[in-house]
Amino acid sequence: MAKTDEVKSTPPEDLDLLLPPEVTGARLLWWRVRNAEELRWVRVAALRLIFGVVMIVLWEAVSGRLIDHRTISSPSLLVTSFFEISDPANPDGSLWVHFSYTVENTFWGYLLGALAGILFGFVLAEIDVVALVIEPFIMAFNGVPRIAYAPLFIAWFGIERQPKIILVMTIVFFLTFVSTFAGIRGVSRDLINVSRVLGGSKLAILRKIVIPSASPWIFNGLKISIPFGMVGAIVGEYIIADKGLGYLLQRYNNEYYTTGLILIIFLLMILVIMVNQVLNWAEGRALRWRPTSRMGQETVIPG
Amino acid sequence: MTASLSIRQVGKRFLSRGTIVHAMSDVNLEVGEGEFVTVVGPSGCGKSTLLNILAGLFPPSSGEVHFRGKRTRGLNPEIGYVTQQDNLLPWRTLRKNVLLPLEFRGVSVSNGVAERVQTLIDKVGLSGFENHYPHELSGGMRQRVNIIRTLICDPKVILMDEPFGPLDAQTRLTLQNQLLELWREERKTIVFITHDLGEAITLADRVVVMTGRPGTIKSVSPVTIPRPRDVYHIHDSQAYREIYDKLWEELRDEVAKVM
Repeated sequence: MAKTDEVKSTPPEDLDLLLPPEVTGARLLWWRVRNAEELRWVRVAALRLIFGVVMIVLWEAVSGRLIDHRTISSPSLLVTSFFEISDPANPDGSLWVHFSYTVENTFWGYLLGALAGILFGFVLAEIDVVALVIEPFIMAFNGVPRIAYAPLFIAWFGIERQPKIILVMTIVFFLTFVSTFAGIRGVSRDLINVSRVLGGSKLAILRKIVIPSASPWIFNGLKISIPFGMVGAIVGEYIIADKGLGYLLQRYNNEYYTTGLILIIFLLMILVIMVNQVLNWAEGRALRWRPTSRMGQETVIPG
Repeated sequence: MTASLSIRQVGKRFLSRGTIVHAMSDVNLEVGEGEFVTVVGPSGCGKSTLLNILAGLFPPSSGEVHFRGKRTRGLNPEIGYVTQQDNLLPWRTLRKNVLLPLEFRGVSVSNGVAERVQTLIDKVGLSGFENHYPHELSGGMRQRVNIIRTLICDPKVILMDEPFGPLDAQTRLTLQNQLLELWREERKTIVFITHDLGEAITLADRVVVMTGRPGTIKSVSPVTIPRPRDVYHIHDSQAYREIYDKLWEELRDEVAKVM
């Protein structure tokens, strides 16, 4: 039996065929560097590096000349104060004490919130009546700006870690819950029916069809909740705490210590990017079957 | 000829937006062991509903379905179902998709099973693509995987719901040819729905024409064109033209009523 159809994929193009024949020598080499598919990543990285360096140099140049350095600080000020603040002998506690306090709270809140969110998403998506009854309540609780819950949590759980962890939990819970719920609800009816005809039991269909189908949604929920969860931890500390990056932000704000404020912003950026990389990697492994797309890899940072 | 499937007085009513819709009524049909029956009819005549009932996905509102003399209730592992959409799992490779029903049935992948899987893959011309994911395959290839996924469990009856509908004309001919070869070798009972009258005649021992809603059987006509048939040239034969014209007369009235 002859194959009548071929696999859908673009054939690798011979780049040099696209080139005018008069291009030779150094120009040819330069053309290849600019166009070779394998070097794409290197080109992008190089351009990003250049962009970043230009921004830093501009910042340093402007600070103290065009704009007061107390307003916008400067890269060199950031470096010196970074070493000052992260010194273990720092009387306010080293930067790393505050950093790990925030990270730990975020981690626990995130873990508990995500587990509960995924579990609830599964259960509610499978039981129609419960979903129908509970939906408006969930929308109502989810609709309230999360910061409004903070004072109540502080009144209930004190000023230690617990209210911060719980604030993170509530944020992460709703995001993962909603995405898991939508993911399970979106599993193709046809796919489930076909699996039933092929002899799949309820449990086997859950394991082999429903969970893999919903997993891109669940991953998406997990990814978007990282920065939002961090908002919870920071806001909790900002309101009342004696430790954490949110506490530092609040203190530096009172002291008009802009270098410290900017330093913490950078620290948070690095943290989010790192966690995101880990999740992207895990997602890439779990969802290897998906057609590769360059979209959807970035996490939205909430305002 | 012993009856493999027998459909007795089957009807189906749905509740749709507050009104009761009669999708099908009084359908009677006997399908013989190893017979190839095709069903044509205007859209919305309940063809797919009939297959869903035969597959046991939902019960008829009235009437009974018997498989080898016994009344069926619910899903029947002896009946396979090939849907119009290939419904492959995008996260599984071709081979793993074919293995899915065996996993469902708790069959461990022994040498014999692996061999049978490979034989089927080879037979439909998919060798070399075993480790490709569905998105890397063309529509025709995916539909072949869908068919051999159903065959792997060795069902006695195969229901097919416009399996070649979304494919282009050339691919469709190739797959018709392949299906006839598979059918000749494996001797399954096949009930095949199509909207393409030519396809219905090419494949069938008997062609069933259904009326518009509520769908019921208008006529059952045997196709006497000898086998093996040449799917690429059958359209030129006199016998084909005669039955085509006769069936088209019947079908045209029904289609006109729906329009």
